[in-house]
Amino acid sequence: MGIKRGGSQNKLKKILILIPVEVILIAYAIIVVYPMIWLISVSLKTSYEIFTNPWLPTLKPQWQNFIDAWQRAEIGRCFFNSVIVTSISMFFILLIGSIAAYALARFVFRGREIVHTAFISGMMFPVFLGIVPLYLLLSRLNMLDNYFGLITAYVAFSLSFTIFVLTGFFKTLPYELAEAGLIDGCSHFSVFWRIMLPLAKPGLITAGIFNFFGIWNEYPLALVIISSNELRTLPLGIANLLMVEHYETNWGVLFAGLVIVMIPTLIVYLFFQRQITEGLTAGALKG
Amino acid sequence: MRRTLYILAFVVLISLVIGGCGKKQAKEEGKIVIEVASFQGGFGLDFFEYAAREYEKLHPNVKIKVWGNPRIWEQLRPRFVKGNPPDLTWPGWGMDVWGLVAEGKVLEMDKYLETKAYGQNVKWKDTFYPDLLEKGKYNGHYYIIPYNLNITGWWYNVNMFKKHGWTPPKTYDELLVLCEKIKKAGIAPLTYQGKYQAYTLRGFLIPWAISIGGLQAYKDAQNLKPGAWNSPAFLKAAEMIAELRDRGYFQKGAMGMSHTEAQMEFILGRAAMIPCGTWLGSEMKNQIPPGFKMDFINPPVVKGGKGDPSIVSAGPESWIIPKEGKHHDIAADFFKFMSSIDMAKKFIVQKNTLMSIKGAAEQVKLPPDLVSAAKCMREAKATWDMDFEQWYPSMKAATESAMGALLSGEMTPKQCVDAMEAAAEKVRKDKSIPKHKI
Amino acid sequence: MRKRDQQLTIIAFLAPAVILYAIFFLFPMAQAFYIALFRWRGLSTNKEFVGLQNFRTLLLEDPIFWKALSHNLVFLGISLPVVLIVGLFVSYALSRKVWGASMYRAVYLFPNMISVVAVAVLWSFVYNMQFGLLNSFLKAIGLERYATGWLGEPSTALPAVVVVSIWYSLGFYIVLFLAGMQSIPTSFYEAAAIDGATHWQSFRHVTIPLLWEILKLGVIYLVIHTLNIFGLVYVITCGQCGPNYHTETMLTYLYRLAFTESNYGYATALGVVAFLLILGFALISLRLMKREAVEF
Repeated sequence: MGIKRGGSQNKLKKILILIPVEVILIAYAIIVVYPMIWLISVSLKTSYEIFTNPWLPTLKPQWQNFIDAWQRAEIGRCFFNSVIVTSISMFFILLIGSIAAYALARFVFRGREIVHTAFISGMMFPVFLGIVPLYLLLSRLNMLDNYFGLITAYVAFSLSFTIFVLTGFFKTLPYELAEAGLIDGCSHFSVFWRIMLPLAKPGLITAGIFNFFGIWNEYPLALVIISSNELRTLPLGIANLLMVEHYETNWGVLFAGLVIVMIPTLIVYLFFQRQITEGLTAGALKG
Repeated sequence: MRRTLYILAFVVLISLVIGGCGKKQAKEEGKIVIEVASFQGGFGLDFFEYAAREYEKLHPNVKIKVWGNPRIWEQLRPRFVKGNPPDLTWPGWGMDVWGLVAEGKVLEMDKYLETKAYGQNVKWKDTFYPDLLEKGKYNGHYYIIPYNLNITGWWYNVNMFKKHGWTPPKTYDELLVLCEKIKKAGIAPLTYQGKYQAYTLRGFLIPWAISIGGLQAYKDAQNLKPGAWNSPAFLKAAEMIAELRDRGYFQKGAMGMSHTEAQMEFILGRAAMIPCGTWLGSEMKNQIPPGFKMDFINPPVVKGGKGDPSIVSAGPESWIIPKEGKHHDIAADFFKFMSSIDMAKKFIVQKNTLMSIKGAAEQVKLPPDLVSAAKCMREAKATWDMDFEQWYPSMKAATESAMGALLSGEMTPKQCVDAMEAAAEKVRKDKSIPKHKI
Repeated sequence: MRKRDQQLTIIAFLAPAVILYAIFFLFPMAQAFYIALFRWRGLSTNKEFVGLQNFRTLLLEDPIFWKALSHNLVFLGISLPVVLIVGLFVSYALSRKVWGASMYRAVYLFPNMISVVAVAVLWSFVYNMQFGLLNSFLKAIGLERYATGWLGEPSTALPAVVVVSIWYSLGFYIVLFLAGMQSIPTSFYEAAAIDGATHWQSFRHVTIPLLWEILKLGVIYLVIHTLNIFGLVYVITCGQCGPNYHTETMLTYLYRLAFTESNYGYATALGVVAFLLILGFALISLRLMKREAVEF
């Protein structure tokens, strides 16, 4: 900076700009957070009280709602299932997706455009269009009602987006480094693994985060592939709870279920929040 | 790199192990396993579980596995395509059962219906209300078997009426007078389940069309007779709804309410009357405040109309045996057991609803909110149901959408019934849709 | 030798993705194109070949399809300016180190992390006529006369759902833009400041050009998201999509055709058309945003 031009006046101007900006940011934050706080408050009420006293905090908190929701939706087991399915799927998506994206971004070869387009256009396909054919296929391969089938489907369905994001990142990387590695006698794979992949970390994190929450919340595929109650993922469990409570008119339990589902998400999210920041900082330093 | 390969191998191994764990042991030590898949709605699954345990006591070589889901049809559809459906199912309101029948996916039940019923010395066939059983016929054979029964009409808040000295309306003219009084008292006269217009079709439009034009007017409409949906009877019925709407007798905001939200308004006394089926009590049992009393009436009729005032809307919830199920005989026998008079009585008491089984309601002490509905059913000269929605699912969306547009004021009564006729016309012209008659 | 080595590498790198994708994604999806040529209930294996009849009916004789499409365009038409204006404004503010920036970012992204089902249920209670958050708020600030049954009124039903969709997804775009902005070296802004540029000028001449690739990504994503929208609408409107199809979108219509009306072949034709439309819109927006990427 260095050059000073009417310092105090500038500062005043800066504050005058900052105040409305902060107000807007806070207002937006309230719009995001408030419905959730409301949700917590109503999750402690009976349905009767939700209708008669939707606003004030309740005097008789119904902790039973949480117990009911937990037991009926078997949240603990669903949570465990979701962790397993999501983490294994993520691992394969990022591994398979990144090597493919690297090949597409790095090398020029015949058919590259076709392969790339085929992957990208997958993002535009309505998912459940393929659900019945997919079901028939999985059943022929004996991959129904187990995690193997579900994870395979998740990996296959997530490749489009992953390759889309990662190709973009790999394209911006300096390939002089790769050439140097090859001259040193490294294989293509070790060049990719040791040199290029670490550079693409921000891209991996971006793709990883969106895949994580995409799969964590995925519903239609899980619904048709998984039928045993013991294998239910979290979205299946919560959707089931929602619908059952809708028929039995227990809004309190329903809201308690939503809160229970949100809390681990919030914790995971806060944990990842630091990763995101680091990834983005790494992104800022690249090139 | 080597480390990564190890990790990879490890993860593959784990996923295979987990995948392997996922497959359950299907064999139950030589027992025949019957898979019963039920829609999981307000009645839950516990009664069917109970019936299964009772049946297993009688037949120790049979193991009955009951499962269910509130969106069970989504899970069943690919299984029907694949040809590995459950042995017995109530696939819920989302399944196009008649489509399944037309595709030859449902077992014909005639020979089972001729067998002796459980607990009564008559044929199984003769334990049902004949009207309700006939509804499940296609090309002269029985496919869809009714189970529990819903009577639909209007519900009113008994204590509120008592307190203000109001009497439940018998005719439309009485209704108009009453609504004015209720409105003056600061209460919404009528509310409805705006997100699901099937309730308003069943609660307002069709009963009034029947009351004006006689049951035949509605039969013609269901049979897709040209001009039946926008006949004078239907038009007049739509005009009556528009009149109530314009006078402000419907609760404000009802249009955006789900069934439970609207029903909650009724239970809280913010609306005096609501159209609904006999499941209302069980659906709202967790919420009904102490001292609340409601009672059932047939929708008020139009004076001088052709329809008999006793005609009532009665719709069963029905089960099917998939043709590609593995154990037809046992599945049929279990269903026969479930619909025996003893089980039917237990179902009524436990689930607070009526049954398609004759005599069951008369032999038990009914919950207070069902007494009037059961009486209406007993005294009815005829019953009707919204079969067209099940026969021709495309008409469901079209009629409900038009009904909503009428209630929200977007369509005039004429436009509303014309839209319904247009939907009927489309089905009529489409030769690929198998037609039904009643 | 080197060349062959490279070819083998390409094949080895692409093979797992291509194989998985082809078998478990493209193959089922490609079947959809084939199914679209049939009259098929989707309940058994009986199909009747009808050629392009499904497409003809859909495009020429089906007013609901056009209505649904127009609603998707409303989603796009409202979301796009909001995402571009509010999204860019907020992410720019956050990138310039306002107080509490990282906290705001965490908050804004959070809705995106909740399951769509939960969001939809939460919001249908926000819009509830009698005890919903929105009407109570209006009442509290003395605007009770505007209170209404938001999801039931013809004029407010669709906008109400669009608002939820924006509430849900705006955080994603903010974080996306922010990631791009943070990768712009601060020296560029310093140079602009030395030249006496205002905030607007440095935003216009530094941020936007350097963000262009990310903006493109965001717009494409928004096009895909709004034309493919399903879960939110489906759960909020209980799958009925309101009187007179007020909130019907292409995919809710597709879903109903396929799974309620057993018109699977026809529904698939709609899916194919939706796919082509999305592809078309994506290509158009890419074309409109074509510009040489700025290297730095």
